[in-house]
Amino acid sequence: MRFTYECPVRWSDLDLFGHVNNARVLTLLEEARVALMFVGARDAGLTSFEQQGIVIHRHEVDYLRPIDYGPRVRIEMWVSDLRASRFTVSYELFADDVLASRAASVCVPFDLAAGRPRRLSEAERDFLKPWLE
Amino acid sequence: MGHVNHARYLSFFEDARMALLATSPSGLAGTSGDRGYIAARVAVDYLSPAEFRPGIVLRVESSVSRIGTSSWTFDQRMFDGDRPIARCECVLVAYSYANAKPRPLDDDEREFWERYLAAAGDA
Repeated sequence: MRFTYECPVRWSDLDLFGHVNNARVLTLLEEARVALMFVGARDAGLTSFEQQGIVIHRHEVDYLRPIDYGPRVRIEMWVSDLRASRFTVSYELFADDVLASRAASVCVPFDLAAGRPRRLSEAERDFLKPWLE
Repeated sequence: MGHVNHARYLSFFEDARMALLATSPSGLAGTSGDRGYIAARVAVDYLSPAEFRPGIVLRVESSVSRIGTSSWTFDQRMFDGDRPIARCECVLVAYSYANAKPRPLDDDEREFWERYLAAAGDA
């Protein structure tokens, strides 16, 4: 199942070429991830991603088409890999309904207090599972 | 969480690339001529968080790992002092804005980037 997020584009996301800067694309994707994993999880009664912590291990972005300024882009997001102590979030970003970028983020649950990676809790796995594709 | 946001690292890597591109024959994109380039792919591995402190300066070392007909690949490493922070692979495609399509790299561009090719075994 995919999580869909409509993300506003800010004027300051553009660069000299008049399209969304490549680094800012990652910030748009982050908005979608935060909407699901922090805000959505909190609504579902799960706060461990926020409170215990989670870190990004790796990002990959393929830029297929330039993203011109427009009020918003559509981000479709799902979990493409779910393991004991890491999971991968995949994304497709659409501008005017045209696929503009594909990306993936490897996320690692982290114990901020202990300063080291941790395993996913049962509740976290249950929260992520419906999004696994 | 008190450390530098992961998306900002891409801007740091980009700044380092643009500083080098500014000295290249194609110059800063968007300037005269039609020797533009676009980012086709970026992948970043995060090795250790950069903890903010006043005056922190991160160092980026950039080299080239591959040169193709119309694209070339950067291998960039970021350090806080001696501590590796992140590594970035970035594929740029030489691009003609006039024709709205990729273009082959010119000879002088190729020669310039060959100077930054990492020696075999250095990767």
